Amino acid sequence: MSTDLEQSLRSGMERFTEDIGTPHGLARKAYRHRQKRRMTARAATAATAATALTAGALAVAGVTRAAGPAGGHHGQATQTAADAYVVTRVEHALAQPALGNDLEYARTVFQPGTTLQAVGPAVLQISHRPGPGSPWAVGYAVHWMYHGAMRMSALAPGGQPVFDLSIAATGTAPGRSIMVIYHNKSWWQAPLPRDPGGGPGPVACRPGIELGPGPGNGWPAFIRGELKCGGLAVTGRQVVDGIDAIKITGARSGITLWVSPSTYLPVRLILGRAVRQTDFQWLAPTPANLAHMKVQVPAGFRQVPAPK
Amino acid sequence: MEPDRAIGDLELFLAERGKPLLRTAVLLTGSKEAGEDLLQAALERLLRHWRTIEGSPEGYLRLTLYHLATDGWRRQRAWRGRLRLLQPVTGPAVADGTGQVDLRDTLVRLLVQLPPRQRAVIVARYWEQLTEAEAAEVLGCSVGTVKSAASRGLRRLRELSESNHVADSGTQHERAEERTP
Repeated sequence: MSTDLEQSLRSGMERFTEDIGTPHGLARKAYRHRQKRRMTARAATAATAATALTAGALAVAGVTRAAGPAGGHHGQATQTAADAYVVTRVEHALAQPALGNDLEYARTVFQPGTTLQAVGPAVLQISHRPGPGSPWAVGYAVHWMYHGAMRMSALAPGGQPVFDLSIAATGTAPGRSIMVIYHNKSWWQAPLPRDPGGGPGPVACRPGIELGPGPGNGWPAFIRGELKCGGLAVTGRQVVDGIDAIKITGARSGITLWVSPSTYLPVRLILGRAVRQTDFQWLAPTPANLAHMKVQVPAGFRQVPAPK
Repeated sequence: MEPDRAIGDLELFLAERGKPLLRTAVLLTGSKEAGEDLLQAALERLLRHWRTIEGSPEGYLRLTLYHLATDGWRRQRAWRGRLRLLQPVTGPAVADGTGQVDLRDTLVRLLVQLPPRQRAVIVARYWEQLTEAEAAEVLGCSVGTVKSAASRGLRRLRELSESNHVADSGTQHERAEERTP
């Protein structure tokens, strides 16, 4: 490692943090958070069984608060109440054990000229160029997710298959991904990159969408985190696929999300320049539905090394 | 603990010395928001031990920042089971005419991709300018560990910056990272 690079690193760190200032009230915020955690811990120890009931009660209270100012003229109050409603709805949704057992099916329609190419065992690169002539040009993709495993099938605008990708792991074993590429009749498989240990920092309020493990494939927790930190805000109600969905938008992220008010799972998502929209369905994990999770390598396809 | 007095003292301290601590926290975590959260978590620990700390709390806070950052603080973010969908690249995809500035920005952006301990060693050595022995003391490990972590971290940063340069040499694009267990 050259000294020049070390100096560049040091200089980059200086640049990266030069405008940062300590927010006012951080000590008080830390104190309040600590008090809240202590109270939460005590409550959890004393009455674990009552937690679900409390969440349900909060949801009801949230409905009441949201219904009050919704028709009024106090915009800030309305937003606060609506956010509180949504957050409590998430609490309610998280308390439903059945939520974790749905199979997520989503269909994404891409803007014309979009390409989607696997550049690593767990990395897909989406681009607007080189455009329709590319063998990686996609019109739409469908994916299924269930208990941390995923399958994604991408298709050209004309419906021809472009690739089939599955990512899965069992227990604590390292995950593997399998990719079938149709334009050159090849396929590869590769272990997923080793867990780097997880960097510190919140899941919420970062670019893009990061979902953790949990009920609803992590969607409710993601939405709750974004609402709490201000990354997303409730902007109203809109009927989507016959559901009177809650519309949530992100000021910085460009995310627009519609979620079911009953389950708090997404029904539609619009994100980024390349994606026209993604529509979700939440299916029962029947054998027929779970069969979609498996990728079959067609006969005659040759195995090639996976991209690093 | 007398909460109001302790909080008041701590606010005064942060007004004077909070910025360098927050800058370290931001570098340890990779973003301003995460850095504030990390510093807040360290402050919570400080408040827990407020009565037993003598003198300036800066040393304690600095140690706590590093310990939290390397001990898998908020380990729920571990990438197992995470799914990143269509995440826009926030890096320097478009050159501003000065390759050196690009390199600096790229290196800092790539810092967050290092494992927590390597990242902490890099921050301690090249941001805080600690000696290997001082870094070892702050991180609670041996000098040999600091040496090897710094060496591996810098090598990895160089590899990442080179591959990033190749990947970013085209136009602006968006990237989907899909990761599951």
